[in-house]
Amino acid sequence: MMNVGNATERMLREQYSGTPSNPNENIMFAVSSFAARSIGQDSIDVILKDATRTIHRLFDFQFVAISLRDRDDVFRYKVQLGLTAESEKKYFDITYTPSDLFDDTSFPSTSVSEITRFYMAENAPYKEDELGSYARPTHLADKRPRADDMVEGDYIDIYIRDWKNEVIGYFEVASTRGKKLPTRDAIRWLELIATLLGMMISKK
Amino acid sequence: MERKAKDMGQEKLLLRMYSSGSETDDEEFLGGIRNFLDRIKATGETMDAMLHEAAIYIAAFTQFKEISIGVKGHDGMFRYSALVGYNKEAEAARRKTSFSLKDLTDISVYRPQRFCRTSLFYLSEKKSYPAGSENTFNKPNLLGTPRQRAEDMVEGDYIEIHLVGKNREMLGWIEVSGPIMGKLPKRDSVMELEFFASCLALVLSRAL
Repeated sequence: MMNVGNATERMLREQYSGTPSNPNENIMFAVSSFAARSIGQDSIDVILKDATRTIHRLFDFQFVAISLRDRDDVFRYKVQLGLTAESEKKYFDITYTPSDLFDDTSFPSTSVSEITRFYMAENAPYKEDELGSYARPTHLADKRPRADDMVEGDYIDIYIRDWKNEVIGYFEVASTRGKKLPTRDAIRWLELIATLLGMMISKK
Repeated sequence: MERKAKDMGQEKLLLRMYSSGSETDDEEFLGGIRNFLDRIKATGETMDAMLHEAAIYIAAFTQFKEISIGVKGHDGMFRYSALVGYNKEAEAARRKTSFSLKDLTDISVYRPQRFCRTSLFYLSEKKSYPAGSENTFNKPNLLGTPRQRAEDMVEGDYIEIHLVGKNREMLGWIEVSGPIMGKLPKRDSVMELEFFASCLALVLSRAL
């Protein structure tokens, strides 16, 4: 082999490290690994738990949950990370109909993309009987200090769609550790993870 | 239920933060993959059409002109399914080619250089192709042309990324070559390609 070819190989070895060199690559690696783990995994519950753990670890959200549409056409939470055991019990009892989810009447939201809805505390996007599911319900009436702050009562839903592009569930994320609204990149990543998850847990 | 009023100031802020302005390269890349996945879901395409879409998308987000995607057939042999950027002769020759699992995974034959996370670089100097398959390249007359600089990518060089399924089963592979500027790809670009390959492996494992 010629010397220049050797130099090319050396360059590939030395300059093309497989170790993440920035936060975005770290996310890329973790999502790749999540996708690989899901292959051959038949348990939807295992995949959902893996998804919530992956999101909780990679992004700034203290609260992550996944709700799926059951056979009776009602959405119910299946997994969550971030709530106390007491709040979790109340949270898992909550059900939503498709109109609760897609119609703005009961839960006003801002649609920032085809699959992402922001629910802001000012719009009181919850019913009275849901108050017990909040980790800090007494803070629900708190005023937002700055426009880009994330406060108790704010949450974001990202739809999970199946192979036919029907909504079969959604991620719910809330309460950033930095108390700020999430970055655009974080939302784009969640949208991609939701898309992959929809392909993992539904049949083609 | 009575309609609740929206806080319009907050709504405007959210739309400004998340739905307006130009996208960063990262956002564009992520949105592109999501659109690709949504498109192949919505059209209910055949496997070949889906892989052709994937090859076109790879050509769009990388600097490579020549993209091949191969998959395992019912007989256990691997064949090219999607080919983008090849001339008629090279494409026809590739369509006739088949590989065994050993051909694709035994790295002792061509000794490719492993780089980034999962990519393999096959060097022209090592003649990383079976004798008689020179016509699978776009410019066979340039095979063996000396490389001028280490960062050059020349005819006969190619990068392979394996698509792996359940229990590490080989489902197929992506092969790219012919960068537009004739140079090795940037590391970021290979990382993105590897990430896309992991998404495609998921699609294949669910769709096959």
